[in-house]
Amino acid sequence: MAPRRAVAALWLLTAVLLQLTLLSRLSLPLGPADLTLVSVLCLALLEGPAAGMGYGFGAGLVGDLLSTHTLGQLALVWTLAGYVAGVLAGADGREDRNPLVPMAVVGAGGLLAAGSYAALGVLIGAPHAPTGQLLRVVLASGLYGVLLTPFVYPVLRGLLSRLDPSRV
Amino acid sequence: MSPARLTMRDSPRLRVVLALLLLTSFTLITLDYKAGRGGPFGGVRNGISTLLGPVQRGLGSVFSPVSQFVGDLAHAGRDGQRVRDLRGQVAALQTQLRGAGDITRESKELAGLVTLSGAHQFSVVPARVVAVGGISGFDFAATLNVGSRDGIRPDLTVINGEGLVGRVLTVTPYTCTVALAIDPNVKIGARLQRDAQIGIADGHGLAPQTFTPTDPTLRPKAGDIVETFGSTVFAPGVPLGTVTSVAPTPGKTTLTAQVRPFVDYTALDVVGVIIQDPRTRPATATLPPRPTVTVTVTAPPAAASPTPQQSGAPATSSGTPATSSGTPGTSSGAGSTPTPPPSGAPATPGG
Repeated sequence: MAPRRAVAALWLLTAVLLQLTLLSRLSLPLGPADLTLVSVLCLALLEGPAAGMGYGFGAGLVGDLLSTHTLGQLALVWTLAGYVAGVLAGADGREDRNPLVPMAVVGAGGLLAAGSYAALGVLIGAPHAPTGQLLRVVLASGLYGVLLTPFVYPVLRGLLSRLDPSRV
Repeated sequence: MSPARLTMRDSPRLRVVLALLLLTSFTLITLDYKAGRGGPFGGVRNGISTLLGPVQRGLGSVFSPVSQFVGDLAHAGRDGQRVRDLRGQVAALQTQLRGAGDITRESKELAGLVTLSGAHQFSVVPARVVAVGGISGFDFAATLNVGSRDGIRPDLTVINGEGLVGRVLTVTPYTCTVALAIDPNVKIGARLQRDAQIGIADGHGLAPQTFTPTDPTLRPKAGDIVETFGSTVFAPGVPLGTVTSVAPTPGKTTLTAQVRPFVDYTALDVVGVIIQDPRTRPATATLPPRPTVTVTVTAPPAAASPTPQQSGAPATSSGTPATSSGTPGTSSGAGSTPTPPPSGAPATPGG
């Protein structure tokens, strides 16, 4: 169990740093691709709801600490996102999963998580960008999530199954 | 094996843990939001930034060409390097132009008491942007590759060749985080360069900035240049942008001007942090050094003091008509005053 967690944590940390130094700077249409959220959702799909919410909380907290917004916002949303994605994974047989399932889950999860994050910001009264711009970032999170999943999910699955072939 | 399997399923125990994690997040949001910047978690934030700052610096410089390359792809068909060079030249020339406008207005108004040469006495620490945005894509911040080791402190103003970039929010030994001027959290004390109307400039993310004049009767014009007026946070005279349109603020009596910023916040690279001497007061920090005034007093030429002569003159002149009118018994002062009324009083009723 321990090496799997270590690998997952290292992956997430790398994703956070890549996010800050590269992905956010690419100025893609709509908004940035959210590699960290995609990683959290893929890990939740592979490891179940307990791991999903743990990774979501951890990555969210680190993301919060490295950002300028209110602490805990990402942690809250990503904990829920990881949990829900994990529960969905439990309902679905993981052995020979249709490759479209992770893409759909990550796409929907990206939309919902980014949407909830923006809504939470508005609710707690933090100053925010105009709604149209928020919606574009939410859309980017879902869209680029779908596009990133075919690369992230198989790599993570390969990494984790190599560490513990009895699972996955 | 079986505990591993167990974690793959939802269970009441798992929901308790979920509830606890959510509660923790809520608590963090509440505490951090109430405390604002600094707060109980400022130390933790600084710690993790200090820890990851050098990595960010390294990765940022590695990926800088990559993001530049992708940016060039987005503008395919154009020579990105050439465009950047020309942009740099244009920016430098525009900065000169704006500075000239400033000097003209200030020299008119303040007659050389304060010159904008003060505004150009900024000492600037050059820096590169190594990371932008928060992790979520909703933040408008940038991380620079300079930190407290380079003399950076919170609240310093960050500029580039085009104008105001933002202000330093947090500092670690090797990096610092800058809240961009377009951050919806940032309010900037600003003024119009043309007539020095003051007001507040607000960020709205990638939407245009707005400028709200303090005096609602004054109306900014399209084309006006908005610049900082200098506060405890922002250095004075840094250009922000051009007014594009003016409209009444909904639900308020003030006017709001849309401002197109000079700085392209999606393509930040080389910036400068203005280091001010912390011992000078912000209001006078950019004034030229106080000149030493030498007053030379020259003794006036030997002449009779004219003042007593002047006060004595009316007495003699008023005395002259009194004696010439030849009314005896009356003093010279009383005799001179009744003389005009007899001539004026019949004239008014008769006319």
